Amino acid sequence: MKEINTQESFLQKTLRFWVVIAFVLIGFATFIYGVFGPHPERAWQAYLINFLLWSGMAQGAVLFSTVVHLTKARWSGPLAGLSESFSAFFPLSFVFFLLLFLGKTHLFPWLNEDLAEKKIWLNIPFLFWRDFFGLLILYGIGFGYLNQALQLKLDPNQPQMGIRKLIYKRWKQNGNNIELIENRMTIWGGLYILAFALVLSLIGYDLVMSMDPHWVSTLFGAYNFVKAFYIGMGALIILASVFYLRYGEASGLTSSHFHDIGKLFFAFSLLWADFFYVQLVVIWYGNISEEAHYIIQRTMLADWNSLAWAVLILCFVLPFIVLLNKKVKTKPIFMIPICAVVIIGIWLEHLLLLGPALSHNPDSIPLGVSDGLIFLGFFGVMAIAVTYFLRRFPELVRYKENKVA
Amino acid sequence: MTQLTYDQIDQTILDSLNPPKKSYWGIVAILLLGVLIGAASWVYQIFVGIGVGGQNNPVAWGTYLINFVFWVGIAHSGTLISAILHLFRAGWRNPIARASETMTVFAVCIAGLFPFIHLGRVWMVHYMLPIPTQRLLWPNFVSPLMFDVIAISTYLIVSSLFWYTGLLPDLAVMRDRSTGTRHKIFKFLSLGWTGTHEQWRHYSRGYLFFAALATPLVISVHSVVSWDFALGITPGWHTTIFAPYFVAGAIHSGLAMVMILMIPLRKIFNYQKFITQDVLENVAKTIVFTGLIVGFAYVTEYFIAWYSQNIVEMESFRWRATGEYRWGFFIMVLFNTLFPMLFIFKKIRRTIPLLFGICLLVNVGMWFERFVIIVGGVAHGFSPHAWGLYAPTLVEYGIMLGSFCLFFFLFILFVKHLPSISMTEMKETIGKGALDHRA
Repeated sequence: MKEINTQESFLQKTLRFWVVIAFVLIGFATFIYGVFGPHPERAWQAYLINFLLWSGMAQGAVLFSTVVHLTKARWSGPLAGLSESFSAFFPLSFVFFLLLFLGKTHLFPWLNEDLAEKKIWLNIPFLFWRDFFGLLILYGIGFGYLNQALQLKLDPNQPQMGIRKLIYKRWKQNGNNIELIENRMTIWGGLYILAFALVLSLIGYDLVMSMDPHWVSTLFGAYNFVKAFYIGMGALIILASVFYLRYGEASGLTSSHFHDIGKLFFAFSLLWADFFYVQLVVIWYGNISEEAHYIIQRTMLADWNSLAWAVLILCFVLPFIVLLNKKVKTKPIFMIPICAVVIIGIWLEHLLLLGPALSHNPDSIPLGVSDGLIFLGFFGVMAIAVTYFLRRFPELVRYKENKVA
Repeated sequence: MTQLTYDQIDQTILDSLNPPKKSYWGIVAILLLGVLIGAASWVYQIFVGIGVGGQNNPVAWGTYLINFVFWVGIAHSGTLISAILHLFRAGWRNPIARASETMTVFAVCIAGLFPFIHLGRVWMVHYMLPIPTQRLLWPNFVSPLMFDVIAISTYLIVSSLFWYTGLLPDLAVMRDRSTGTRHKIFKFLSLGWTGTHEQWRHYSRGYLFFAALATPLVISVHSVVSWDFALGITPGWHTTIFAPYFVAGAIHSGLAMVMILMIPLRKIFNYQKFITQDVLENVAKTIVFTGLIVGFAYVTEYFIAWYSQNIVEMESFRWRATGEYRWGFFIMVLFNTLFPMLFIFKKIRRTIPLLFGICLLVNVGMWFERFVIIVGGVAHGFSPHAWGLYAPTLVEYGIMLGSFCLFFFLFILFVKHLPSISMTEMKETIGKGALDHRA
């Protein structure tokens, strides 16, 4: 078994670190260039999609930890700790949300429309304030949960500095009482799950559904949080796979961990498809013009229909068929590309939902190199955030079942 | 739990099949009377005509459809417990899986009766089957009602087979411990089970595959049931959240029904060692979860109706809470979402009478949910000119009573004639220590 050395490369400033920094800079430069170029709306569209995607991913990954704690699922082992590292993206996500305000004229097509009574809900100040508080509450509860959860995972033999010192102090204050902390985790975790459902529904309505202000779907909120959990789990599998491939069994991960979370990921591919389909079929069958135009434009008219097929194949058909195989689920080397495909699929799905409403030229799909570069920039930010967190808490990588019973 | 031995498990469960006391037959007789009242009401309706029910124009769907959806809903948690929780390796489901799966089979059978009753001319039932008439007319395959026929019959077949497959090793135990005619019957039913390594291998694979297939099936069945409503464009019905909302609601009511059945069962048959307080507590926690989903759906429907500013939707939901059937609406909200939240408190979910009482209320609430949706939707549709009200008639109450009595009648016969807890799974449980470590 290879011993993990925290001084070792992955968490340190190696070539890989600088590549990630380069991604961030390229993404940032592309976005700035786009904003001051001839088509600022394209840059803002890419920004919004990436904000939704990466924030949802971080929120969904942390949800994994709370769910396995509340259901007392012992199988998760080191996966729960790894999933908590995504919380490092929370503050960044919050800042990204605030920056959305600068692009409001390019982001909300209903700004120039007469919305009549709908104005009570759909107006910029109220929208930003409620989403601001929503995210603040969600992230606040998320950190409240982590404050408890990390106490159980903290290795007292490590040097305690900064945030670690704070958590270590709490652990001492609580008199090393595991049961007390677990009970608090249950309360914070339960609140996080509730906030997750409500806030992600709100974000789904406000930042995706309302882009077509006269279209509604009651499942849209639930669809939004199921999607976030799905990609959150995908990102977690990728992170765990990276550590497993690098450190092998020393990471505490085994092939059965991958098999179990692979099965859950498989189940969520089905659930995502179910939520996608039940909205589609009800609207298609009802065939009321004010509802149907939304799906006609996105799933029947060219070129969007080809994007819709691509989304279905990437997010459901492909993972469903591949993950039927047990061996694939137990092999991290296969799981990385599958999860990556799903995440890209969900990126495209956001484009499918937002593109026709935001783009001034809805006949062709607004997708180009700049979208890819901005995506890379956000990927870089996420990678740095997660790495930063894991450097602060290296015990999450060198998992030992010490305190947790 | 670990002090239980294989022998004790066999003995306690087989003891439940000893010849019953007279009081048992008394209860059977009372329930049979209820069944007969239901049957007589139906026969009366067949002779006189469907007009003896309270259905009218515009409310063409009354208690027959409400009871249909109610019983399909009850069926769902059986599959959740036996299949979905099996896949999740939740060991606590083992002691209640058999009874829940049996509940599923009976509930689907009873649900399946209601479209027959609602047909009026029940001898025309073959119109629902996918066979052409002499003029080569086929049923309308794009009708959600046709989807329903296919979904429910598939569900009945799969859940019966799943139930029977799980029963096989236990039937063999009963065969080995019985004599005379009973021995012959169980010999036939146990299909030559001898417990060889090969048989166990096939059995456990088969059980797993059934569980894996039943899981998407159960979700699709209640989605299809919800589409009987959501695919139409009636206000209050045509909404995309219906499928997941109905599935969650179905499991909500079914879990409550599991409690209503298990709490007396464990007392009467001394099953406290198997169906422990922890098992009941876990079911209660699951009810909190399903209650939250149902509550989320209620709030979402109201929010979106307001957000859309669609006058018809807004009126439909305003009337739901303030119109003639507002009591139904408040029963639904209180009983389905607020009362089950009391299970958040450990003290309440560990007090058996409260557990039983709240579960009873959940079932009442879920019945009224279907009333509010089904009757409320058509009673207050698009055109004010076509608004109307509905009240069930005595015949409908008779049939409803019959359906409840039939359910408990079948269940009470089952618990005295077949093992109501799976001996196989209980042995697996202590073998793996599932109750101790995974509960």
